[in-house]
Amino acid sequence: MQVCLRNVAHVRSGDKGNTACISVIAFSPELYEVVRQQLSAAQFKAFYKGVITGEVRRYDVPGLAALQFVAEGALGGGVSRSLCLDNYGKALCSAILAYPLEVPECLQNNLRGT
Amino acid sequence: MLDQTDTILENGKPTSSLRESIVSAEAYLGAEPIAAALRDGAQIVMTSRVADPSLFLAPLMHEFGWDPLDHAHLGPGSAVGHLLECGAQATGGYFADPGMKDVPEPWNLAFPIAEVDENGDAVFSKVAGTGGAITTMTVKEQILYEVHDPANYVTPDVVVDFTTARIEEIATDRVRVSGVSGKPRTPTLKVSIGCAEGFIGEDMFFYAGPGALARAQLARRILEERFKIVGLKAEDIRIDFIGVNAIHGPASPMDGAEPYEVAVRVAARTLTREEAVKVGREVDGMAVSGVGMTGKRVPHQDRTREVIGVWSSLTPRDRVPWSIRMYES
Repeated sequence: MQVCLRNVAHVRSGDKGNTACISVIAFSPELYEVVRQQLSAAQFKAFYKGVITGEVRRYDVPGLAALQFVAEGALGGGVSRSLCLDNYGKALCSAILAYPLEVPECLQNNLRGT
Repeated sequence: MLDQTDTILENGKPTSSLRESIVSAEAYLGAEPIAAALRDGAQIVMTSRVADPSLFLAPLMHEFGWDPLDHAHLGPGSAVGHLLECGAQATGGYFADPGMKDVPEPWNLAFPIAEVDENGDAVFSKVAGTGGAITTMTVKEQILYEVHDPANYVTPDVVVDFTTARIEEIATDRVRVSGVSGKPRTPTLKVSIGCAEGFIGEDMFFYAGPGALARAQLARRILEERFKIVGLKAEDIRIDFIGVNAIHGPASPMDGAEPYEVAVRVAARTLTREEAVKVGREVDGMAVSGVGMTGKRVPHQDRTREVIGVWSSLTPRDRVPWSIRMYES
């Protein structure tokens, strides 16, 4: 079934200089596998359509059912230089919640908000 | 600092290239000097810039007699500090998402309490009767918060590996974190260098009701042309529609329903304050020469601000000596 990331994981943003750090934490180990297979660093960067100007790295943390995305050049030059209203990029993580995912029916009970 | 051979992490240039614009530089010290002050009997410790987790690690080092090079204990101890350093961010603050992640009484949050054992494993809880929640979800969000590589979280004290952590909910609002590991600290300290880099001019004005977005789009066009006419010299200009694309920029879906209200926000980064002032001046004109039905605030404050850009560098530890002075009252 087609769902979006918001049904599968929770997210949080952090900032360091011009680099955004976006944690994607699956609601279950099984859903972690789904996200891991369907959301690569390249797909993550593409979904942000130019907001992220630099490299995106993905760190896998299976023990926490989490993927850590580190996006360089995502904060308009850094908190103090940025012209973005949300200059810390604290709300940046919420965009990825709309990312579409295909989840097997058998994991339906792991989802939230469906 | 600038006489050293250090380089700027963001662009690889020597830090000496910042000589003309530097206004500040702070090295991030660790827990070692704080633990030494506690050992000498200090009851209150005031420090220069210290990495956030170090503030919590130092009393643990003092209590358990952990050596500053004992990375096996400093790793989990720093994880405790990282989980406490943002206050209620571990107890349901900065977490709620209605219907998806609900938090009881989010107006009455408690700071987290860590009961730490001599191995550095800890149980996190909060005062009974407070709002908020402490769950594996709140703890995971905070563990990963602003950590780049979770296997190599570099602090002045130790390199923390969170990937080995076990997080268990042992009772309601009680979460046990164990198994975090540590690797030896790096030979360098991080330095943040602040530089005067110009100014930002910023202002906004408003539309509402049928046709609001079209009026905002015409207003943006007028501003773009006006900036050409007045010869605005800007490093970067951004004109956004709050309610449409001001937060996620180009990643915002543009096929949604028309918003009822739109705020046009314009910001430009310039080298001089004189240029930055032009932003507010052109927005002033929108009230009389712009688009019909434009809402406008009377500007009560300066619409320019100075930019202190921050660069990072690493410097060898021995270049940042520390000392302790004790005061009695």
